[in-house]
Amino acid sequence: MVKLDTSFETLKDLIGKSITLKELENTLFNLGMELEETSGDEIKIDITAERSDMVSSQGLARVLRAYFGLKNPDYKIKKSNYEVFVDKSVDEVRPHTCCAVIKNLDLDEEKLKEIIWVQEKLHETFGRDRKKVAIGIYPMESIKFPITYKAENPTSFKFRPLEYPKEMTGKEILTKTSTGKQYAHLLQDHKKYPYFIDAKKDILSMPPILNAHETGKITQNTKDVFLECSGHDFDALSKTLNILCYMLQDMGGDVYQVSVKYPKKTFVLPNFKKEKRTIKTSFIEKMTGLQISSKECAKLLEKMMHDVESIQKDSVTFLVPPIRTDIWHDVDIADDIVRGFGVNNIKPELPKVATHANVLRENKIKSKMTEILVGLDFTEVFTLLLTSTQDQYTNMNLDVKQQNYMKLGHSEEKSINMVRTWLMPETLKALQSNRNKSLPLKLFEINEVVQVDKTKDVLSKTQNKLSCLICDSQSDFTQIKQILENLLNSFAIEFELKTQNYEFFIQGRSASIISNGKEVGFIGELSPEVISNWSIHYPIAGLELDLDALFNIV
Amino acid sequence: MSIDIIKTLHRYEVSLLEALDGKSDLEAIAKTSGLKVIEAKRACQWLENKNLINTQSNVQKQVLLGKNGESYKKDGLPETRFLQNLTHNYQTIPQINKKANLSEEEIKITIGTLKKKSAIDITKEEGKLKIKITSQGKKIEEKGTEEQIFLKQSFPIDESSIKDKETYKLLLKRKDILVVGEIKSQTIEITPKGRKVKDKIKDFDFSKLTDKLTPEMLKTGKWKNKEFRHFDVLAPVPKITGGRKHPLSAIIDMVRDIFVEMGFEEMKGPLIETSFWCLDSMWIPQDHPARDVQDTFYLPYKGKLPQKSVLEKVKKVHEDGGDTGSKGYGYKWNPEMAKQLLMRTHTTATTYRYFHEKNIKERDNAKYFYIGRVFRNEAIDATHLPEFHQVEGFVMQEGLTLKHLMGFIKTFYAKLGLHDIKFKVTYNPYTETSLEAMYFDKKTNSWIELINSGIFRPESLAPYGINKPIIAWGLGLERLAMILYEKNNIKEILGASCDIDWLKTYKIKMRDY
Repeated sequence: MVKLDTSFETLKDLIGKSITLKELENTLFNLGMELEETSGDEIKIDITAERSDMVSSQGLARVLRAYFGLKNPDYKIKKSNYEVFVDKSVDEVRPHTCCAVIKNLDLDEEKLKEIIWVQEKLHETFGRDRKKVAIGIYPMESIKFPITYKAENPTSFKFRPLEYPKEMTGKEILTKTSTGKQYAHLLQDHKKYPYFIDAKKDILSMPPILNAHETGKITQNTKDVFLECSGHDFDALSKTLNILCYMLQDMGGDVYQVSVKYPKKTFVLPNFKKEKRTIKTSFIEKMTGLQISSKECAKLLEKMMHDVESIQKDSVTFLVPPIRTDIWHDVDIADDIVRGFGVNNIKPELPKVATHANVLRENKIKSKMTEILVGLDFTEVFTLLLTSTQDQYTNMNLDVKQQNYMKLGHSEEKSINMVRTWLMPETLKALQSNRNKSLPLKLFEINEVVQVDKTKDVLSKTQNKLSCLICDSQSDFTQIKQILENLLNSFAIEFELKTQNYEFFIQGRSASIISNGKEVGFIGELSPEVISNWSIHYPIAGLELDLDALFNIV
Repeated sequence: MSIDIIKTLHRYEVSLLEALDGKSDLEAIAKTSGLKVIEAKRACQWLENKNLINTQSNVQKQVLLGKNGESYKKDGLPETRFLQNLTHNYQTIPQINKKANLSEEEIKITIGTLKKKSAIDITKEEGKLKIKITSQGKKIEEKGTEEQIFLKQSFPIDESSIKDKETYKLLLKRKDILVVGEIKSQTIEITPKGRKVKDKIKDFDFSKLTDKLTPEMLKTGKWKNKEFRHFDVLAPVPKITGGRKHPLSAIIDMVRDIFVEMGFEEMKGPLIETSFWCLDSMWIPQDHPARDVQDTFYLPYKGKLPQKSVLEKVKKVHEDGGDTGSKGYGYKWNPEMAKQLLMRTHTTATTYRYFHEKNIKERDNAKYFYIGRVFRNEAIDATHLPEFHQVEGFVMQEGLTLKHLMGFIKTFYAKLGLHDIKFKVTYNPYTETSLEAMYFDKKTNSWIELINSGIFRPESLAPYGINKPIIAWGLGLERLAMILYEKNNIKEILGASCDIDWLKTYKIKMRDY
């Protein structure tokens, strides 16, 4: 989401119509946007994520003009002999560029700021942080056409980067400049780095990193500029170029064509050709439930900035502006119609879809177990699935090296590095954070854990477990065994205990729980070492059950 | 009336009332009534509830000498000792301290105190401090400092009786000179109503009242001749708590009930997912920002992809839209990227698994819901957790449109008791049209967005052979829970840090539909 900072006066000037703030707010809301903030004349607007063409005051005003039924200018391209040659060498690294020339700009501080802001925002959003699209803008007075776009070994070319005192090689730019470091990942694995070079053999820039000092900075006095977009997806570049050309023409500039010559093909750019589409009113009804005539449909399309070409009995043929990057399918047109119509003008309707309701058997069981445990005076806790080897194993006297678990990769939170494989340590954590509360503390948790399972497509299995802890000055094995018996007897589950030692229980005071010949859990008094590891000062008895095994859920 | 009150009196209360004449303090009345202090205390509480007595708590502060205070009283305060060893000629500190025998800390405080009183004159020679007594100092030495005079009193003394408050404050600030103890006492006074009751006690035969109904009485039938002592049923009782279901569980049950009432079947799916099911399967492009490491927990493993027939179709819709009528993204889809394992970022991953694994395409209709945990790669701080629960429901049937999606959401909201709602068009890569649904919150006088929804794009359904429309909506469970329980912080709702006292006493939430 992009937040557009502008003033209400500027916007009204650009729209060319006097509107109230409330009208603006309602219109933006219908279009799927929000007036975030107003303070005096200053306004902030959240631009809807997919509409790259609205990322500028000019772009937004253009959309609003159409919405208010005002005519937008014709966007025209003037002929020229400007040429950009695309060398085969860029194929491997950044294969495409789309270029244009804009003349007779009358820039001021505001406009200059807006251009740089739009460049930045397009980089961040549609440009996927310069990976998909990088934009370069150059003052024409310091450039001599034709320009060549090529790639070379990064140690064999050098130029003075913008705002740096000395020349550097392509390689040095990635390690010595701040922008170079920030975007190094986009080039560093390639043998050759791309650059633009003019007829005087001056390097203009190394996309997508930075411009050269002599040729790469526009100021308020700049009248004519050379515009290029580089990347991997020709269509995305061409659309971005169009968005910029539309904006600069709205600012008063004249757009001139550039012939971009690939080894085998030439493109004359920018390409303002509008895509022709036909939409059936029946499709709109199928998607939205709206019954509208083709005439009404045409009106809504115009309101959404499309040019209507012809209206048939049950369909409309229209042209999509060449700056829309979010139209893939007729459903996207239906969406435009909804925005034009106003979604809150559609009457909600509940259809009859006859189905059988059902709750998962495991959730029914979990619910009943909760009922029993609450009756036995236990309070439920809900802890996190993401945790650490320290909490899951080390604090439980277990050797991390001998455990099988699903590790996390990079984590923004330093205290987590794995997905829990059992519940007891996490329930202990809840006990720990409530240790100053009055005793006894009787806690239980019925929730999911993740076990390694190489046979699954996700190399793991999500399982249901139950853990139960009693913390009191007198808590002991008898008490927790009473709970186990009451719980399992309530479900008529036959089980037996088998003496067994666990690292986290006091030796000789623990057992495994066996049902149907399978181990389904363990029970015991927690060892003083473990209790101390959790900084708790009262005895704890506990149990953990594998519910999936117990109920044969899987 | 007063007879009824008399019947409620416990024997402790009777004893106390009988012993009480006008005003007394608690300990004294305990003694005269023959009650233990604790018994008298309880009797006081009950009697006060019945307006038969008034009680007043008093705190008396007593000042005692501390460890240093004791020795300073005997040997003199450090400044007194220091002053006594000064002459009219400048001396170095070690020279002065030879007899005064003060610790370094004491010397520091002493010099400060004496300077303030203008009792000494300090100079510096060859980097060493030298000190002599002033005439003012001489006077003080003869008379003794205010502090020394204060210590001469006999302790303990009642704080309220102290006259030289200034000196008292100064000494209180110094280490271990004075200690203040509190003596609590309770004064009890009989009320006019109490006096009336007291007068009647004499004539009342308490022996005919029974305190407790016993099994013995029931067995023998002796209860028939008994009158039971009346209880003050309005008296407060100690609070108790029992075991409770977690509030989040309660909200899960509520949401599950709503879906079941609306005829939905419950689903489940794995917490760890492949990128394929979490992202690619639903036509999220491989360069989408949602895949950033900053937002998603990746695991250092690669999982397995579903069978080729599905993969080929997913690849096709990504690249050129396949036969859906879509243009596709125009890039080369990379199956290797789709194998990457991650902590699922939304429950829609499970929805798409169901599309494929449950062969939804063969059915006339389907209505499923899911309540499950999802993850975001975020640092834990005061108000953020890296995981929370998502609720999601989808409906497939021929003829479903946007107005039906709106109809389901309206019904869902209504079942939560929220009736004033509106919709806003939004963007989502796998639904078109996508809608946010908000309700009007009267308390904050603002629209609150709780539900996100949409119609699944044809590109996202084609790989699973589904050609009927599917509408879906979802919401964050903790957000709903926070609104219902009026909490501002997710950490009060989810995780080990939840306050157990609240978990045992939270108010039950009922839907008002």
